[in-house]
Formats: sequence, structure tokens, C-alpha cells
Amino acid sequence: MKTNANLPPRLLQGRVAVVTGSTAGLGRGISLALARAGANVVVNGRDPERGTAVMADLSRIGAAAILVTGDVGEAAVAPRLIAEAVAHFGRLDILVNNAQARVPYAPLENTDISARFTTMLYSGLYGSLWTAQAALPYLRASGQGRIVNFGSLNGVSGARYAGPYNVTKSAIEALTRTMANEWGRFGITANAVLPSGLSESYARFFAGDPARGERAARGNPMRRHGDPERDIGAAVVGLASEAAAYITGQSLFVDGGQSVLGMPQFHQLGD
Amino acid sequence: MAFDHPSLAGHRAIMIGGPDLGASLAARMRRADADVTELHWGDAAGIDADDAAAVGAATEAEVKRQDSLDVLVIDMLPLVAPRPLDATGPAIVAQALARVGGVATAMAAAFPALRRSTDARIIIIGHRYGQGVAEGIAPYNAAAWALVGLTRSAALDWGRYGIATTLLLPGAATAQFEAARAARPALIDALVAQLPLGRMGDPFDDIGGAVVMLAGPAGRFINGQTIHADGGRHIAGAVIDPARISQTR
Repeated sequence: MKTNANLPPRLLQGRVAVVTGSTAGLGRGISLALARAGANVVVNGRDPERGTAVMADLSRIGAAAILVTGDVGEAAVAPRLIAEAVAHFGRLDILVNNAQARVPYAPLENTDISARFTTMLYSGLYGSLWTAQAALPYLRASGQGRIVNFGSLNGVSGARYAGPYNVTKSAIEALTRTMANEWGRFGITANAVLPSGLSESYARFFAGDPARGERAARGNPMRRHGDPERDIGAAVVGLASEAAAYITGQSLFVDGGQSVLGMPQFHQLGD
Repeated sequence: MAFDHPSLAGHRAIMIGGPDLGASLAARMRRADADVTELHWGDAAGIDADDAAAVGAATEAEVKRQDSLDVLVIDMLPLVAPRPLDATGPAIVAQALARVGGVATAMAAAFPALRRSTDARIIIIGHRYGQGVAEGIAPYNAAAWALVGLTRSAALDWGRYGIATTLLLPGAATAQFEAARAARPALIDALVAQLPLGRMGDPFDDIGGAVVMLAGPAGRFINGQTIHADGGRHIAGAVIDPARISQTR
């Protein structure tokens, strides 16, 4: 009979997690959730000031954490990020690729759109690939390596005026499935979370029109927005935990069921 | 929000399950300290899984006996003997779909108690033939697909009450699977080697683990979704199917 006798007190006790784009929004919430589950956390983002603020939040809950600033859309950053994580904590078990640049909404016929595709793909797709390449030896050595990437319902539904974002997010899902098929033999799982959470950019989107934000919340099957830490962060903790050892290649909506309804085309030019 | 071991302390659950997976899932939930009641089908002492009204009544009686409920786990799909669609009469289809009726009546019986919970989940155990299909088992395929619709309907109708409903598609080394492996070890081992994780799921650790994950804090906002605890089989392409091999002439 298996018992609880030898279990650590918390789900991710002693594991080490890198969370890209974690100086704000969903990434910050994910970092806090991982820390509450006992993981040591490597915070990453472009803005040192915001990074320092998240470090203070983590410190308040007693987490061991370091901050590595840099844009994972630049090729040199990912190897440095992973190297600093391993140099400090001695191992790496969990890679969360949450970072994603933003560009203004634009129609596909916009002549600047290709440059925006490039910006988004470097930040989201290449950033996820480069961090995973750098992390691979350590995730193999972990024996319980986990990669959690981030897709979006926007990509699945082809939300208007968000072409560069949509394409990047769907490409990340395909990358995730490829990682799962190629690296499963190393015991590494790779899954994509497609969240609906009140991130910083989502909050900004609704800031000018709070009634629209309330309508969006009411339109969700669970009648609320997702919380970055308690909903999205908790799901990442779940996927990183021992309980999810057999779940890989999955695109997992953590969205209260919004994807069941589909997404309203509410993007307006100028948002 | 606690991310502690054990992760389901204080959660009360009902597990309606068959001979293949039910006991393992209940045991894994108990290891996470959930208070689990099991309703069995598939043995003489169990409930009649082919009688939807009886499944609903048994669930209702159990819900009344308890004063609260947080998690309902239902594993109801039947085993069906392979036969081509042209030899599949309406009675066989109706029998398979009656199992879906049983899931629905159990959910309805549990609903009032789940609505009172602040952290409720319904986890329906389905089958990958509700995502793809297999040859020669039309009634099973139809029932498995029906569970997708039922899951999404519950997500929309009951999400407003904080009840998150998911469909879990397992890839487990059940007794049925082990029997198939014993009969054709080389074939089955070749199949398993094609899975991204290169192994079949353990009913307790892997499938039970996925149930525990969805029942815990991780599953709070996961609603209406189909979750594969299958070692990546759903993305692995055309993996050899022992059922198909056995039927190919």
C-alpha cells in the first residue's frame, strides 16, 4: 500500500523553475504560485524595476528566487538565463515560457505587418525554442523535466487584427507538440496552456471601458476572469507536479470554458 | 490556496467506476487525503451500469447520506464486442448510449450538493475514441463522443455555480491491456514504444494523478476541456492499434 509517509510537505518542494516574462501579469502570478508550491523561482523580464518588485513579493512569502533580466527574443539571452539559473540553484526542473512581446492591433493588409510578425515570433516562438534548447540537458538530468509553453484562444479562433499574435501562439502550440514527441524519451513532458486570465495587458485592454471588462467576465461560463496566480498559476503548478507525469503534448485551456463558447471578435483598431 | 501534500485534504468525493480503473482512481484520491465513496459497477454487488435511472438513484442516495460533496468522478463506458456497423443493431447502440445517460443522471443527482461546494469538480472518464475513433466499435465510439458534448454542456450550464467539468481520456495499463499484452507481447511492446513517453500509464500514479490534479487547485478554472493522460498518444500519429490488428482480414 502506498502511503503519504515519504511525500515532501509541498507539491514542488526543492524543484527549480524558470518563468520567462514574469515581472508582471500572468508570469508574476505563475511565479508566486510555483513559489507557494515550494519551488525555487528564476524571475525573468526586460524591466529590472518591475523585476525587483516581483522579487520583493516572492521574498514576502519566503521563496528562494533570483532575477535575471533580459529579452528572451534576443538569441543570447536564453543561454545566459538558463546558465544563471543552474549556477545559482544547481539544477533545473521546470521551464515556463510565458514571455510574449505585444504589438498594436493592425489589419493584415497593413504594410508594416511583416515586421510585427517578426517581433512577435522572436519573442514568443524563438524565445520558447531557445530557452528549451538551453534547458534541455538540465531537464533531462532532472528526471521530472517539465516544459509549459503558452498558446492562446486568439490563435485558435483567429481573432481579428491580432494576426502576429495569433500566428505566434499557434506556432508555439505546434512547437509544444514537437517537443513532446521528441523529448518524451527523456521523461520530459511539454504542454501548452491557453489561458484566460486578467493579465496586465488584458486589464489595460479593459481599463478604458470597465463595463466591457465586466461583460467579458459575465460572458465566461464561470462568470469571472481568471486570476493570474490562483487559476493560471495553479494550473501550471499542477502540470509541473508529479500528478501530471503522464500528461504531455496537451493544449490545455485554462479559461473557465471560454473556448467551449468560442471567442467574441471584440478587438477594435486603436485598442 | 494550498499546494501542500496531501493536496485533497477536506475534499469529499464520489467515485462511480468500473472494474478496470475505478479502484485505482479512488485509491489515488485517498492518498491525497480525499474522503472518497466508491459506487461500483461491473460486479454482482455493484450498481447496474446499463440502467441510467438506477445509476442516478444510487448517486442520489449516496449524496443524501453525506452532507457535502466536492468532486464527482464517473467512469461508465462499457466494453463492447467488435462488430461492423452493418451488423450493429439499434439495441446495441442504445445500450452503449444508456451509459451516457447514466453519467448524465449521476451528474444531475450530484448537482445540488456540488453547487453548495465552494470548489466543485466533475471529472468524467472517457476514451480516446471520443477524439478519434476505432473500426468496428461504432456504439462505443458514439458513446465516447457523446461524453464530449455532455462535458461541454455541464461546463456551460453549471460553470456559473463554480463547478468545473472536464473529460479525462486515459491511456492506462489496465487489466484488459495487460491481457492483450500477454497475448501478443511483441506487438504491444512495439505499440508502447511509439508513445512519446514510451510507457503505458499506471492506473494509480498516472491516471489517478491526473484526477487528483484536476480535483485540486490546478483544476479550478479548467472547464469543459478534454484532458489526455495518455503519455502523448493523442499527438503521436497512427500508433498501431491492437483492436484493428485483431480485426484485419
